[in-house]
Amino acid sequence: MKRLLCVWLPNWPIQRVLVAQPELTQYPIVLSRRDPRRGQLVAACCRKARNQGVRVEMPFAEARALVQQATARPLVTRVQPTDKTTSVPWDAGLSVYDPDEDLRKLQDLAQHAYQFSPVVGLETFDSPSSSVLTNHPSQQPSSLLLEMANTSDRWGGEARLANQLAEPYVAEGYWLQMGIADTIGAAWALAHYRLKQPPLDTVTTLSQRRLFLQIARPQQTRLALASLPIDALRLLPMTSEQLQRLGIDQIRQLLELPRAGLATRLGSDLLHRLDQALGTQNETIASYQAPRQWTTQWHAEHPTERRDAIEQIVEHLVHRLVEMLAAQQQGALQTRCRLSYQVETFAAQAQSPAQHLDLVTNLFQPTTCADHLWHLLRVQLDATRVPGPLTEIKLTATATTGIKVRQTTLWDESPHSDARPLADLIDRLSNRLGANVVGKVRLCAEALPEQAYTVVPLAGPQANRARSKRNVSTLSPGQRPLQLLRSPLAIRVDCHDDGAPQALCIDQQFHLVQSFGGPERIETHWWRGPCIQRDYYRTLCQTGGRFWIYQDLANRSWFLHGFF
Amino acid sequence: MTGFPFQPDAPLSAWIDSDSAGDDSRLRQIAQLQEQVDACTHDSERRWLRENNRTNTFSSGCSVWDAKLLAGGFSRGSLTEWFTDRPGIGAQLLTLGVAYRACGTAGVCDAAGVLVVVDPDADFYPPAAAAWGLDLQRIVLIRPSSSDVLWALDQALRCPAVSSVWCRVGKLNDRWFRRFQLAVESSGVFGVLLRSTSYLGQPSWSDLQFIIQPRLKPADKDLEETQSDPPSSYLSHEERYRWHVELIRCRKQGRLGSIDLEADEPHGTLRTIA
Repeated sequence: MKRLLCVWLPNWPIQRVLVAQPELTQYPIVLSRRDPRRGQLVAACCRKARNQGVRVEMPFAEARALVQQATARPLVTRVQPTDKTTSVPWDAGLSVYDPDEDLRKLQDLAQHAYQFSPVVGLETFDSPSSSVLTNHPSQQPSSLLLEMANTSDRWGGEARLANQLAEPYVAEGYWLQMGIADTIGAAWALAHYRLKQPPLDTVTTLSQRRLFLQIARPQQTRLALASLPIDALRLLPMTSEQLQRLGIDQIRQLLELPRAGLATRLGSDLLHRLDQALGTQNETIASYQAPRQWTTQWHAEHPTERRDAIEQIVEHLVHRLVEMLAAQQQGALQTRCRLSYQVETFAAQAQSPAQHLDLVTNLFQPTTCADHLWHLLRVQLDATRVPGPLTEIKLTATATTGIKVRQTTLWDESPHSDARPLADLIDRLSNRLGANVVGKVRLCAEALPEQAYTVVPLAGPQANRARSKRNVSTLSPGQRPLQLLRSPLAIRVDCHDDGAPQALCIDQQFHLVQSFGGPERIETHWWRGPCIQRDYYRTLCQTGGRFWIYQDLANRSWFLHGFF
Repeated sequence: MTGFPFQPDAPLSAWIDSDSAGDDSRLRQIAQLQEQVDACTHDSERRWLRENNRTNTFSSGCSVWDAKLLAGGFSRGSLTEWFTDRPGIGAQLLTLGVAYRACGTAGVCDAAGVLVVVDPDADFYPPAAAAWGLDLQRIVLIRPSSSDVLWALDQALRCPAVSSVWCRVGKLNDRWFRRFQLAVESSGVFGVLLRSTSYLGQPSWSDLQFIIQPRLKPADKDLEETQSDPPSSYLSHEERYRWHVELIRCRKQGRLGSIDLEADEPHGTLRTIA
């Protein structure tokens, strides 16, 4: 007989943000997403925000106004990165919904759960009509599923297993609801919906801080589900609405109806879900398998600080890792060398509680060349001072991909045909200067000139996804300067009566304007926060200099923003 | 021995024959070294010939300007310095355009190359470059700290997969400059260094040195010191980018002289001004 455990993390996107940034606990948190037709919408919000009137799927601008109104603080308190004295602003909790990061973190939790069960998976959405909502927050997993028929005895029973599974999550700051039953559908229902008056002979409940557990006794699934609402069957919203219009709120009422008429009147989805919950139709866990990580490590019998010995060991590990990768026809895109060391003094322990250093190497192309990898790692190793004698060195290929093998021609002498030297250059630069320093440019559809492009790192696993994007500019030649100042420079401008610039004073040098183009009004979208409005002018001065200046419409002051 | 290392007067084997047997090993060693030096010399000569070949040059984008350069254009594997005394005259546009032309065109002569832009001040604005027709897929942007800029520039210049490198640099010491020269000679990269005129006259290892100045119309010069009429409301086509480019130093690649150039904004091309 199967026994299934479902672990639900309610309001998962908000939970993840709160655990990652605990300082935001006191602020209303609202996550936004972009809808192609309706613009910025609220994807998720916390209880504080809900109390202030924010609702999921409402326009983000409206939610923003509600939060601002409730906190009653001025709009212009956005913190500048350099301003360390300003407190956290009122809109600190307004952020962008990140389903990828949510999924990645949930996969981490699933990986942890493997010590309790041989089969662990994330909830799936297998209804064919849900495909149109693939990116919708309601279609993102927030539950884990575990098969626990043969493992619960080893942990002292189902309740104890669930408790021990939840313990590290709760300690980290998450809150969980769990359900145990004979079927996936029933376990999911018990995890997501609390029974108001649980039947004592059928369901056992356990309520602790940040943890709620409901266990349906074996072969009592039908009775346990009876008093739950019909939404607990994972129905499509349309089917659920139809049932409610018919006055059917609970599963008990549904079970009393003649089965023959249900499918024809309410669709096959209803019976499919009902059968899955009751166990008459089989449902399996889609097991989650973490991408394989290749690791090789060395444990010191006697901790060492000798630089030559450390280098020799790391080089040996690099060769061993590359051999492992090559055997699977994989190339490393990112490696992490973890140097664990011994800390001798209390003060040093307090300074560095982690007691390990990570050297991350990012690569432009997947490599199986040990010498190349070792060379990049040695550059970082040379620049690193380990605070104590090393006890362990662990080298992991954190991102890999299949390597391409290409037949070369005998007389291929084109200088640009081989990308290897370019990859070597990018690797060298990225690993010495930092991955974010070496990049390619991607244009963005932003009004503010300084936000009209981003630099995407060329090395590392993240870079691969962005390589095929095409940049198309909608500007005409000479419309923007090739040199854009990082911080606009305040200047003095003498204007004609009609407001046109007549003369500029830049760094105490006087420039008479010969001709100008503009004004070109650039303003930020009203839903992006404090509105920025600027009137830009392209000016050609009599000295031959071309300057891009603007007048800030908020305070009528002039700035130099770039040189043509 | 006159003419060393290019033209040795007599082969060293003759010396070996005339000397005593005790010095044989020493002379043999010298002969081997001599052969190695010769090999290096011939290599460099071959490289020089290759560099001056038409296939290893690229057009500046203006045939009149190409004619003033002996190789019929700019040579790959050379280092060029461009001086300007004021910002905003379009020197960045001109130099970036020349550097980009070194990348070639995909599918016409060879595979398209890569332009590396070393930008320590983080003020290079890629949307403007894209508007001028530069393909951003072929630009690698490096934004190192001021302490790493020369190292990054050196690394880029010595990479044979790179077609050209553009950088705005300030002070350069002899050691780094010499490194840059050797780097481009070995890799075939075209290096463009945009500098302030305050560095003019300092020791240089570049192949070509240019001064870029805005080309002012005579009427403008007269008006420069006087109060102007109210400006016209829009930049007209008459007020395109115009430069007076003067070649002030050349090493085997051109004749000293100057040229007046104009950027054709709609097409992003260069042409001379009559």
